[in-house]
Amino acid sequence: MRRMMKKALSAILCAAMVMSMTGCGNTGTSTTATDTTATETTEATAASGETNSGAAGGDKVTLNVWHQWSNDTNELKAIYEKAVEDYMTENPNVVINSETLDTEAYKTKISAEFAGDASGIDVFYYWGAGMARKLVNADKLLPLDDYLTDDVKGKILEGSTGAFEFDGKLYSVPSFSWYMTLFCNKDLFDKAGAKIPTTYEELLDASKKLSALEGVTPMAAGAKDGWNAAFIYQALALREMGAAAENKMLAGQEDFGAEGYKDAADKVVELYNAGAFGKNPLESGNDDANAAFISGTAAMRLMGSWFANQVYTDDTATIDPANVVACKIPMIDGKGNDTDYCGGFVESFWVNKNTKYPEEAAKFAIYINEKMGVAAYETGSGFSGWTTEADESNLNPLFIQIKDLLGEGKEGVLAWDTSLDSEPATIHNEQTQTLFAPNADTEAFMEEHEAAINQ
Amino acid sequence: MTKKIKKTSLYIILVLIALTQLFPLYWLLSFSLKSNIEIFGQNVIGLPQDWRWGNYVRAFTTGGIFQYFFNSVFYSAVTVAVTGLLSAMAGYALTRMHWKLRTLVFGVFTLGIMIPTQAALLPLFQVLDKLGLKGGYMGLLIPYVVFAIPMSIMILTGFYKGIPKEMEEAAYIDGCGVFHCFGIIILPIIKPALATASIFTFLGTWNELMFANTLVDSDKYRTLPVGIMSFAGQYSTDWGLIGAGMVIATLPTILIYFMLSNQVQESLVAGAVKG
Amino acid sequence: MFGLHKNERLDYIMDRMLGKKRYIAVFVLPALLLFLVFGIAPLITTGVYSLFDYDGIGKMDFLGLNNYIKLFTEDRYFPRALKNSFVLAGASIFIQLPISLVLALILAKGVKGEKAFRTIYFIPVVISSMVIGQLWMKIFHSEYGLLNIFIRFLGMKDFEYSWLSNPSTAFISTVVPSIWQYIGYHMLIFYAGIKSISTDYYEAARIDGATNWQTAIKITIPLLAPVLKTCMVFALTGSLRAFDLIYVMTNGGPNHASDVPGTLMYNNLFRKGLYGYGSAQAFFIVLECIILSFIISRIFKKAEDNASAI
Repeated sequence: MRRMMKKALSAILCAAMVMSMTGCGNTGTSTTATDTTATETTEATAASGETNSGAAGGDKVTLNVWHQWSNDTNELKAIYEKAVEDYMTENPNVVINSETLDTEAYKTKISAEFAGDASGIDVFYYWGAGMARKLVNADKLLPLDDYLTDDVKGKILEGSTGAFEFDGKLYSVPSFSWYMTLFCNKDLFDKAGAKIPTTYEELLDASKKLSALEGVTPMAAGAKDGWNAAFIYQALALREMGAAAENKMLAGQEDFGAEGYKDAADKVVELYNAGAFGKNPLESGNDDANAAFISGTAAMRLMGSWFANQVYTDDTATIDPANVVACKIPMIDGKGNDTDYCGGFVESFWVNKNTKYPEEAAKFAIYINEKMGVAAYETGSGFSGWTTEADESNLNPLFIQIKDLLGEGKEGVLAWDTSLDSEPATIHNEQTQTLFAPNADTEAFMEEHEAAINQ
Repeated sequence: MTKKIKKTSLYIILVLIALTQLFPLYWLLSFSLKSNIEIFGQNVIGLPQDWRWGNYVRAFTTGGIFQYFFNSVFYSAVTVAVTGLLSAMAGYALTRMHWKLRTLVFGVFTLGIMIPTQAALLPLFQVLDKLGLKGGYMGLLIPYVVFAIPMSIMILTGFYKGIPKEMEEAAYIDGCGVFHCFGIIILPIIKPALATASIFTFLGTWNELMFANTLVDSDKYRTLPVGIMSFAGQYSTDWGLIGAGMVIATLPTILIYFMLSNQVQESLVAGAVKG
Repeated sequence: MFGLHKNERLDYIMDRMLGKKRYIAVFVLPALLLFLVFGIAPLITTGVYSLFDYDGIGKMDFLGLNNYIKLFTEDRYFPRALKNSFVLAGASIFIQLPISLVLALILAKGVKGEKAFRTIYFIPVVISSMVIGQLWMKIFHSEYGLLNIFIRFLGMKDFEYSWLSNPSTAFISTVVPSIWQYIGYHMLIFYAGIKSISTDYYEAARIDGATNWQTAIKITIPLLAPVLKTCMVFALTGSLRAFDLIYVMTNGGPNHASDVPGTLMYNNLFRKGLYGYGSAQAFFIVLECIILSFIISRIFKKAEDNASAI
């Protein structure tokens, strides 16, 4: 009797399991999913004052577009929404239904969606290079070559498509790029009698002088967020190794392990020991660090070009933007190339290979990438990947400084966590954090990296 | 004499521990009403010199806290109601009805108390996603109800076992139907146990972090704990504001606990523990 | 004679009413099906995933038990995370439970303000781990935190750590609030247990002239064994599957110093995309919880048997 019961139970469990694993793939459920999103679309369009329902005739195409500008205060979100509205007016047969999430949740969502066929996604925002490679390998992305007209090709900035090309095919077009900048508060440098650094030696010296100032951290590291810690390491590694060698390593053509990578780690430790990052850099994250810089309690901040905007627009900023100087990553004597930089094109919109409307989706993806590229430039948060004319009247002086720096740049290295696969990327970020604590072990740092990257 | 000393020393232990339990909360309350200058300056521990109720106004108006608050109330209310009904019914069947698989099914539910919910997270995420439920209210309500059921059933079965059979017997002999009997006779009797189960369900739902963090996509459906957490990241240097947000998230649970604490403690004493 | 007939008739009626499959199904199936489909089935699926190298997108290679072997041979972080969870469990059982028990014993004897104390001790239990975590993060803050201000006040500069970002203090700093939060919870369960013990036992002890502590140790605690067992199982499984508080306070950092299996698993699943391997960690927690709960029950059963044999 007991056995019977057990059998019955295991049968139920199996059935339940099978249901949970496969019951989802059938078309019935995916239709419901589309239905619900479609309802949302009508709401969305109604809200934005569009009257698409009037455009009768022809089949309506609904594109589900995902992006990660979830914060209402983000200028790019408003710009995106305006661009979508314009697109729908120009293309009355297309309805764009946008969904958005915070960055971390967004990444999780996208990978979970693509664990299936991602039927709810047609066009989506994503990161090129290492992150997209995984999707390309799993045959999840639609190459855009067939949809690129000569007109479009002519507008794309030369050399901006590296992160979107896989096996000779172009899976996306560039949108905007970023540039890693050392922001310096000149006021504080003057007070400390320090020189704005152009070399590592000067950076170390300035850090020592600045740390003598009461209540001032020489450089706000934000190391509680792994990617912030990684930025500082990556900057020094760039100068130690040079962009060409790093790119080979990140693309898996060369092993990680050269002496320069260790020297860069040792230099982070040296800076930490000199008090460059304050007492407890692991206690504050990106937002804290940004706040420290714009409120004048930190003299330096190594950040992407997007930060320039915040110096001007943030309500809590108390420093005078005119006193902020944008610098290149300091050079290391006798090494590297000063035309190398950190940054580049990596974020853009991509098309799901399983989309029902490849043509419309590709067209929209290309459109929105160009629009957002130009808009990012016009608002001073990034550099457009398009030769399309842009309105430069609103660019702030700090951003123009960065633009000039970028003008001198030749070869860029993307942030490692976008170039590497997600596992080594996470380990890299975690490991660089260990450099911001007492008794850092750079030998272990190297070993962990080698184990993670050279697989 | 010695007895008095003994009694006083016991009292001192009680009061000391009560203070350690309360002091952090007092501190939270006090810094939620201060400006950064007071928090980071001379007045770290004292009552605010300048009572900044504005922190609360800002907490409610910035960052969509109001929406999160509403969502949390909604999730909790629905979860408590649905879980209460389902587990009252299941508990009745498990203790009173005559069937063979009873112990086995009860064992399955007991397992539910021990298993860590995070172990089910990934497949749950995928199932809900593919059913198109993830990202809406249902996507969070289902796991909340599912993982509240075992505890609720445990509490209720413990109580059911203590109810004398005679009450139902009389009703059934009078020709009363099962559903009728359940609704008219059983439900009123188990009210105290239901209150206990409800408070546990409520606390679990209101405070839940992991599912809410993983299964909710958009701002629109976000719950208070997740909201406050991202809020705390965003405004990390503004302790007054974060403090106000945290008090807003905490107050309802404490009020509900005060309202129901008698019932909870009584029904725990009444025998729920034995189950 | 007549009475028996009546009972038989009653049994028949009750069985007819309460034995009908249809009714049973209506009562039990909604809860059971929900629980099986969304509770047990995902759990089993996790068990299945744990046997694969699965990246969530395309790759899904069968590995057998290799993921589990890797946990203890190659993984640099898992053994430490496991050790941490055992430290937490030890602290719960040997620090938290005794405090709760003592409080319950004192309160159950009846002191002035008994109810107020009970209510106060329970307050932290009803607060979200997120709030508790954030609050203790502030307490441990190196500059403005309550703890360091107090240490500075005492003039013990050497102990002014950056508690949560220092690898040697981070984990202990997350243990403290975990213990702190649930003292009241166990206290209340103990209290309820003590209250349900018949007063006859105490009468007898009082007549024998036993002191309070003697009564507590000789009578209350042995009779409390089932409750003690429940609390230990809760404390143990709660520690082994700990997640919320540590996730909020340190997310396992710095450099995994404060990781427990729960946080490690979460980050493996959702940040590193190691779905198969993360599932193995998740499933390991399940097995561990079930096995250890079972062992505790056995130990108590044996102890009870021994006791009744005497």
